[in-house]
Amino acid sequence: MGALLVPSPSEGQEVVVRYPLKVVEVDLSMGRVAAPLPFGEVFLLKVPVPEGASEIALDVRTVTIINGRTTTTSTMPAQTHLTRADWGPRSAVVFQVPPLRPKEDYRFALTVSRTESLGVQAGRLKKGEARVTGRTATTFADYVTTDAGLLVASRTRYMGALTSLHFYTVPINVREDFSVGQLFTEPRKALSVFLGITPLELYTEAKVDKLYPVGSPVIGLGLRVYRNARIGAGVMFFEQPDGNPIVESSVDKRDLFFTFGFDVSYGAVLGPIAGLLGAS
Amino acid sequence: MIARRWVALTLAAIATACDWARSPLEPDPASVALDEIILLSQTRTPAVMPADGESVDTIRAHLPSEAKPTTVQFRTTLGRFQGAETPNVIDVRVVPGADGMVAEAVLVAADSAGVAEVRGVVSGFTALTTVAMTPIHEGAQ
Repeated sequence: MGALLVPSPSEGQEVVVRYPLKVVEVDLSMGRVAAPLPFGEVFLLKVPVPEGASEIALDVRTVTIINGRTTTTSTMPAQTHLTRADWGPRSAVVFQVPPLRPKEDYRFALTVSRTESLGVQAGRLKKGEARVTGRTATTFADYVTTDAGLLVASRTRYMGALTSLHFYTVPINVREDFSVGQLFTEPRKALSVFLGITPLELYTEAKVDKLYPVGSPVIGLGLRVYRNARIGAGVMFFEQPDGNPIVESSVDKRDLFFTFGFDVSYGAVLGPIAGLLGAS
Repeated sequence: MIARRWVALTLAAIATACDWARSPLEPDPASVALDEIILLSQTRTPAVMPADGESVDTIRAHLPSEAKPTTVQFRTTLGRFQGAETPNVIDVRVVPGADGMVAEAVLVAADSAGVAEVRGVVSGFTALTTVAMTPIHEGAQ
């Protein structure tokens, strides 16, 4: 049986989703979610319909433990509820959950209403609450993103392709809708230190030789400005032939550069290719 | 006041970093001094016993020690180079010497007193030296 999708409970707040939503399943018997919760992106919470349920309401709460006491704070209006008429013959309902913060415990309070039959009399409404907990987990990979873009060096007038690894001090979800306003409210989500390489020269006014066969290395500071777009500046290390024409060796040089690029998931691009190669 | 100092320090740090980040580019080869490319010297060669009426001089081209393996072409306006197919032109390979990379050619003049202009050419750059030809005659004191 399929699942019924419930729109975001945040009334009046339009949620624009440009990617397939992740689905996290709820295990009501164990009281927990089946997988770590994603952070920084809208996701779907799939809840199996309990037997006899006539109405299900969801309340998402953050869990805080202070001095051994557990307190919960609602992060989402509790008006998100569905009735039997909504889900019909389906075996599960799906709630759309707004972005959660990383490395936090959450409690999903599911209020399930059942109408008990009292013989010839009218049914009696009985409510029960099922609590499901989960945590937004992060790994080292959440602190690193990859990008590709264009690099322009100032003194050599070198222009080339750049691909780099960005390191952040906070976990980053590249699917998060990063806005210009967050530059000021959450600057750590915007600032990164990056290491990269320029594998492809497009134009240059001075002779620039790659330091390594794959390209010239770069280091710099990046600033995510809007969604997955980023600007940055740094130092490019390269080689130039010695000014003396009879001297064979090259001379190590460096130049200041500016860059503009976008987040790129090489795993998403290379994964299917690797899969095809592995299968053939 | 403290904020101003921090702003000044930050700007100074950025300026220093930008200055460091931009190293001077390698100059155009044409602006390299000729003696950094090739320098000629010549010595009368007493070790080589000249025949009657000959003078023998060794012409040396000095190149930087990091010079790539290359060839120096010597040309003279007077006399001939020992072992040359064309008497007044010889190509000599550069080899490591005690004072950097060197190429040597032996200039022999027979019964032709005068001043020879000897040129050494490397990668289109030409250095010039002059050699006074003073043939030695047997019995001369």
